[in-house]
Amino acid sequence: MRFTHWGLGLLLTLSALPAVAADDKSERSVYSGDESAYVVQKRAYSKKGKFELTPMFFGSMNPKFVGFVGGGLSAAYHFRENLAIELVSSIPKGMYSYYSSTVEDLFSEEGLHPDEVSLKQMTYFGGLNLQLSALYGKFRFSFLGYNTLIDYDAYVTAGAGMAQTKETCVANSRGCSGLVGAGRGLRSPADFSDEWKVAGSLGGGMRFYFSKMFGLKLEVRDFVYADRKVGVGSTDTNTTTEIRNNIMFIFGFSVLI
Amino acid sequence: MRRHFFVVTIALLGVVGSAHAQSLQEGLRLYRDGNYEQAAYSFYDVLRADGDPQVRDESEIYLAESLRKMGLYVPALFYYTDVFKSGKRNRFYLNAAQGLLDIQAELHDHLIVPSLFSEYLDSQAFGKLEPAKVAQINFLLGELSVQKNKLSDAETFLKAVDGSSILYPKAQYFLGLVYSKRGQDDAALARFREAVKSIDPAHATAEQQEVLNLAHLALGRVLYGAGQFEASTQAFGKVARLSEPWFNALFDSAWAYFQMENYGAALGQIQSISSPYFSKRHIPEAYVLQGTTYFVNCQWDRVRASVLRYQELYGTMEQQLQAFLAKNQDPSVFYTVLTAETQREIPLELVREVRRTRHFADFHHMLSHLAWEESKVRDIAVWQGSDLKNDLALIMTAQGDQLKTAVGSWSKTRLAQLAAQLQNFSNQVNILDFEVADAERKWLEQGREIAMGQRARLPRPEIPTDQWQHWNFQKEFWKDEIGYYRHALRTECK
Repeated sequence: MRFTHWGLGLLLTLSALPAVAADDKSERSVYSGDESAYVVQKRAYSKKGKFELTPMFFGSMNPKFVGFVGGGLSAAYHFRENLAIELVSSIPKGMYSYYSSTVEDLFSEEGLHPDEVSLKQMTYFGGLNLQLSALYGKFRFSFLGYNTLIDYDAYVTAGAGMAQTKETCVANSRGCSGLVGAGRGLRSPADFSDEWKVAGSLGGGMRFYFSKMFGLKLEVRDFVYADRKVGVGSTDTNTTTEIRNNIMFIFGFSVLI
Repeated sequence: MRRHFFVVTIALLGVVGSAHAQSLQEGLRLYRDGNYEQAAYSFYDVLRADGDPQVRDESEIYLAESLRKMGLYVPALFYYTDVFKSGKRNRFYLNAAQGLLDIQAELHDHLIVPSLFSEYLDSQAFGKLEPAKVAQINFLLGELSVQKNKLSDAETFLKAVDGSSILYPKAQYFLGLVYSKRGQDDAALARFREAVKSIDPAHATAEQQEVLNLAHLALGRVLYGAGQFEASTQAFGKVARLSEPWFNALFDSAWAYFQMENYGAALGQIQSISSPYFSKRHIPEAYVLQGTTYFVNCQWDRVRASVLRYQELYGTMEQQLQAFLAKNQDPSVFYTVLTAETQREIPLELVREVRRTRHFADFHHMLSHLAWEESKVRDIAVWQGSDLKNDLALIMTAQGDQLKTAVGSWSKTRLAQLAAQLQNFSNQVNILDFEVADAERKWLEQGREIAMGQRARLPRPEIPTDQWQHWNFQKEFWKDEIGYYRHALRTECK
């Protein structure tokens, strides 16, 4: 495997699996140690000027109280090989959120419950991001006698977007859904700003290309926003707030067109 | 040999007479049923014994056809040739011509059938053949004429291969060679470009792909010869990676880069051709070019390294080869030595260099097929103990001997060329060795330092666009990186 930094030309060889070392017996080249030799190679797969569509699956990585899984779509345009703008969205109503076992345990065994803001569930997210592919590399993939070189790049992504959340309520009460877990239901908060909020997005991932059109994307992204829960009724007058870090693992099929 | 058969045939003519007419009918029935072994047996019997020349002619052509359908091309070639040589008076003359052309293609024969058509050329009669066969004849005669250096004849025949023929690109390529041999660069370039233009890479056959790559290589070489080095590197760059001519394209482009004083690129191409991927290639000239490149940049220690590596690899090779050539052996021995699984007489690198050529490969294909045919004839049960089997064995033995002599003679010439080349390269390396010693002496006299320490790493070469990527070479060779090596080199002459 080898990878290099885009700007600095730093090369690190992680392993020499696919290559033949220069001191191999079959080696006939005259190569002194102080030779300044490089490989200047056209990329096997170019992204520049192309759109990248990525149907994707995601799941939360830190479901302390609330977790989620779902599907989404990312559409990116690559201005340069190393720079792209990306629009990402989960599929509306395509997210399944759930309470973690901790919540169930707290409710049923300890008689406790977390702050209600911690129990709000994200039901949608979307955003606009900038991607910088700073590293690229390649490795050989071998499986049952099949060998191929796979090119990859690593990128960081940052941007802003919107997230939709729902708050917990007493299941089957007025305006509340049926039971979704921990004896609770869900409803849209009365205040629009409690339901929709501006979010920031920060992440990083890798693309692996198997052909000029198709590849895989693996990514970890933190979708972060400030959430709050406004108390309602005579017995619940507290307003609680929390910075919610929704760290998710994303797995997608990348199509370059 | 053939005379021997016909003496036997004529002797038997009066004995059996028309009794074999029924055998001909029987043979035709068997032939139509696809029972070619029995059919050939019947036709052979009629050919030997029937008194009617018409019946014998028919038996002979069907015997040839049966043998061809069984894959016994060499005996079939013998009988087709016999009919073909009898000329238009034989009503199966054109069938024989067609059969010969089919066998030529199957056996990759660029000598026997083309020579036959050249000797018995009858344009009027050949005109009655289907256009594809006419084109094949014209091409074969053109190719043969190129080999014999009859360039005017070659031009005439190759020009007669029209654009509708599958052989058109190849004919254009050979026309380019004709003009190139005459020193008509513009005409040669036009033909090579036409060869390239007439091939659709997406739908090209393997042979057309090969022609395409050869045409790009030839374009590069003609442009190089004309001093258009930049254009020549572009043409060399179009030769498909990993194709057979790719090695030559890489090496020739190294020379072009050298001429352009792009020494880093020249060294990069040398690094490619001396990589393990090309470990079986014969590369003495690479060290000459590498040493020369370092020499013009006054990097004496590196010149010495190139000279040393040349001497390690090729120092004794020429003497070993000359000793073998001096033995004055029968030409057929050369074929035997070159195809032996293990031999110590010729360095393996040189053996591979000869075996790699298309010419040798085609001869070897014929002889390998002939060996298979001999074994097949031995194994056919219905022919056991028959004269047919014995006659075919004699035909094949005689043909095999002739072919081995032909390919052996050609191989001997090729080895002699390689020996001469090695001597030339050794001379150049010796000159480099002397020159570098002289240059070092002069530097010392001027009080300059000749022992270079560790050189600082130089910046990477320019990257054309961001669609290119770069790595530091760290003494590992990746197959996909061959051809993309570039050195950063700074002259140390000042």
